[in-house]
Amino acid sequence: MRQFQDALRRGVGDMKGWIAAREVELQRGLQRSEQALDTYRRGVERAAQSAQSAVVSKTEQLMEAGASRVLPRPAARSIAPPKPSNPSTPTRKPAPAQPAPTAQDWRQEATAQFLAAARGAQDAFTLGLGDQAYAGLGAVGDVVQGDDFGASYQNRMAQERARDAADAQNYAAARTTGQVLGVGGQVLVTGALLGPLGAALVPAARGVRIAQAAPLIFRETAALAGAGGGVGAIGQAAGDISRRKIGTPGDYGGAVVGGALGALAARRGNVAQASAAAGLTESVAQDTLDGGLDTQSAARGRESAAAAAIVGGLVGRSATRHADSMSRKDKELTGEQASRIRNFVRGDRTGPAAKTKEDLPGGGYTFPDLRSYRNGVVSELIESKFGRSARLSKRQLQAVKAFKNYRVDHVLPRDIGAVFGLPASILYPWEQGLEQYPSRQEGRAP
Amino acid sequence: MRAAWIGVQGASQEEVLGVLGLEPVPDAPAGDWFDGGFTCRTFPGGWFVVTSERDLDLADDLATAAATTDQMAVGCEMSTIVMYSEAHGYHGGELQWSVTHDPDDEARPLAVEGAPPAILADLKAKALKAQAGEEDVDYVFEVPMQVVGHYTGFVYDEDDATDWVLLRSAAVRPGRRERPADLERPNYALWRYLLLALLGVTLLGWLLQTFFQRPA
Repeated sequence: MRQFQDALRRGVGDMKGWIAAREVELQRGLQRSEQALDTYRRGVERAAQSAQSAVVSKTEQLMEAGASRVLPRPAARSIAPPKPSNPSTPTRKPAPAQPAPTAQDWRQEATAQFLAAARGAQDAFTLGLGDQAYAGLGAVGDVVQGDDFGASYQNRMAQERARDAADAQNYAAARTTGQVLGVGGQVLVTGALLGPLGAALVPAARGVRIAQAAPLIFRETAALAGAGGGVGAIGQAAGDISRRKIGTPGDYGGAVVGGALGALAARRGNVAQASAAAGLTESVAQDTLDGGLDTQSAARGRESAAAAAIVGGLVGRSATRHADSMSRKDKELTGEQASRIRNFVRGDRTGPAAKTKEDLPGGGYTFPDLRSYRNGVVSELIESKFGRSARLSKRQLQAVKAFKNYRVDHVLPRDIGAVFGLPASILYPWEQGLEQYPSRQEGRAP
Repeated sequence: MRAAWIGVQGASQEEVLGVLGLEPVPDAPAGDWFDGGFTCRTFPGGWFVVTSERDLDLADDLATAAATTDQMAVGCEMSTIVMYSEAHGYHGGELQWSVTHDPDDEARPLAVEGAPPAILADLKAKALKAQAGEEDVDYVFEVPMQVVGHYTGFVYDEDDATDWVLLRSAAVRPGRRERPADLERPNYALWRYLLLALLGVTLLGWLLQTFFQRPA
């Protein structure tokens, strides 16, 4: 029994020793695991920091590379626009060396890029007029505080342009992206307003020319193109006087070509589209004649077309509405006067206005409004029409079929709109608003 | 062409011409209805018709002429340049009906007011039927003239009579207002306005460019 008890004591002692040994081993294992986990965590953190730095660095490299395709890489960034002492000569502050990017820097950078893109979109969409409106409103506020409007306006415009220049230097890719989006929006809105939708909104601009209306002969087409070209030349001369700078022969040649093409396009009836064609053609032709197209020619042409479409469209639509609302008597006189002008251009003389009837085969007769004479002989019997809904009478249709020299002239209100709208788009100095891609006379864009 | 004519039933020629301030041109040969400034002729049924290319003022002259009879008086004015036409009917000096065709009024190709004659419904139905799908000819334009022709017998583009009497304005026009002289001249006010607007817009642009030039 005593032996059993001794053995039991030894066994218990052995078990205690075994258990103690296991506890020591377990603690050592836990310590090793904690050390491994800590090592692993530090490794992960180092890897993450390394990856973040690599991504930021690579992104900046890509952005710099993108910017350098448009403009030379700037020597230093300056997010805020410079505040020049003299507004007319903006200067750029040298920036300090860049510290390592942090999350906060990255957010600031993204915000600055976004704002630069937004400003680019606004400039493109409004053809630079947004800056002028902003400066004008600010100047009005300054006037309330006693400042001079002109000086305040010029200072604010200088600040706007300095900021645009800073954007172009520092955030070229973002600004270009914004400009592309702005142009897209401009094209969509302008096209919708000045295209079929715009015509639908202005009832006076509706109307279809009578199918039997006499088409223009070569002399009339040439005269129309000549008149458009003449207006283009006058517009160029007026611009020269305003700028106090004589344009090149290429400038005048481009203006003549643009005006001529616009006048021919106006025959289709959409004065806004005709004005856009005139503006685009003039810009491209001037660049071509003045030394060839360059990288900014397309942008300049696009801006010219959009500005001309807006000016021509607004003036043309206004004139169209007025023509449509003229008194009946004035419409009659305008219709007859247009026929007289056509006679003159065609080289014919307009005969006396007294009515004489023309008997029709099958009975009845009609009264032509005018007669044209060539070498003392009746050349044409003329029926004048004015109005968006004017059609032939039953007798007049008989006359169209019966007489080979029966001419129908149909003037639509939108023709009157084109008479005023197209010259307005040519004569109006809308280049004032084209700050992004000024004409060569104005100087190249920065 | 432009033309207007008035038909009065049951009134003496002298009385109608007197209130309109017209008189026959002495020793003038008879001719077609469109041969002079004013012409007149008697039609069956006691109708007396006065025509003019541009000098009859339908609003005033028809009411004046209608007051000379206790029977009917009708009048019509039309322009083939703008394809506008209108007709009015009086009875006993009172306006009974009006029919107007304005081509720009797409919703109402034929506007009718008052109690029109029964013949109008037939004429309108025929015109609208002919007009359906027709883009080249305006058939509804003829309806006001057809209504007046139904009463007077005068059809402006078929009349072959050559016994129309040439008229002139009398020295005294007791029942007729003097037409302002400028009504006979073209009204260029709109054109002047548009031209001034064009010049104004251009001048404004130049001024902006000159005084608010962008900094160099």
